[in-house]
Amino acid sequence: MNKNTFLTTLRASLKGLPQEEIDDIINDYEEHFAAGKKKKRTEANIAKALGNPKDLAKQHKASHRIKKAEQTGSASNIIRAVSASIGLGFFNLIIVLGPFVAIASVIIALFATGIAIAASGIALMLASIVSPFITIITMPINSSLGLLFVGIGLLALGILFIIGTWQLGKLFGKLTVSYLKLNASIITCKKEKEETP
Amino acid sequence: MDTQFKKGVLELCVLASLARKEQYGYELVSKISKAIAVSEGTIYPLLRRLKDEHHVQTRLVESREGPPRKYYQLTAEGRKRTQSLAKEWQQFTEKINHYLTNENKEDKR
Repeated sequence: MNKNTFLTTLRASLKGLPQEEIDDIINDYEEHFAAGKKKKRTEANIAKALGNPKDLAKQHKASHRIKKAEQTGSASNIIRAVSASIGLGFFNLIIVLGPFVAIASVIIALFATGIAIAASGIALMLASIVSPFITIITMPINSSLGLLFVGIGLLALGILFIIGTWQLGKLFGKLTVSYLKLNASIITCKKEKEETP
Repeated sequence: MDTQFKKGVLELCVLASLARKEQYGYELVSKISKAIAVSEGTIYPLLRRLKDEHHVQTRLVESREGPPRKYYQLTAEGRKRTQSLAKEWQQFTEKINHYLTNENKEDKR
C-alpha cells in the first residue's frame, strides 16, 4: 500500500466525523509519512507499520463518539458510541449488549407507561368537565368532581413516572459512557478521578 | 503478548515517554513500537484522546525542511495521571509476581 492509498482509505473510513477532525487526523498521518520518508523508509514500509487504515479509522471514530456521548449525554450519541465500540471488537460488550438492550427497553416501557397514565388522567379530567353526568361503569365514582380529582391524580402520577424515568435514563446513559471509556483504556485510576475536580 | 495487556499498558508507555521528553509524533511512535509491538497507527488515536482529556497538549514547531511539526507534551494533569498509572502498574505486577512465585512454591511440595 502506498501513502495515497492509505490516506484515501483512511479518509473514506473516517466519514461521519466532522470535517475539521478528519483533516486534522489525516494531517497527523501525512506528517508521519513525511518523517518516515526522511529516514529513507519506503511508503509501503511506513504504511505496513502503521497498520490497516480501516481499523485505525474505527478507533478514531470510537474515541470521538465516546467523547461526544460524554459531552452531550444524548441518547442518539450514546447509541452511536456503543455501536462504534462494538465495531472495535470489544468482546465483552457483546456479552453486555443483551442486558443493555433489556434495560434500555425497560426504561422506554416505563416512559410509555408514564405517558399512558398521564394521558388517562387527562382523559378523565376532560370527561368529568365535558360531560358532568357521565359515570364510568368500572369506576366506583359517580360524581364528576370525584372523577376530576382522580383524573388530576393520574396525571400527576404519570408526570412523576415520566420525570423519574427521565432521570433513570440519564443515569443509565452516564453509566454506559463510563463503561465504554473503561473498555477503551483497560487500566483506569479511580483515585485520580476523585482527586481532580 | 496478549492484545488486552498491550492496550492497557500503551497509554502508560506513551505518557511515561512524554514525561521524559517532549516529542513529535513520528519520534514517539517509533520509540514506543520498539518497546511494545503494536501497529504504529494505533498510537495516534491514543494521542488524540489524551489531548481531549487534557493530559497532553500540542504545539506546532516550524521546520526548515517542510511543514511544521506537531510536538506533544504532558500537561500538569498528564503528569499526575502518569504517576497514578505507574503506581497502579507497579502494585498490579508486584501482586501478580508474588502470586506466581508462591504458586510455584506450593506446587513443589
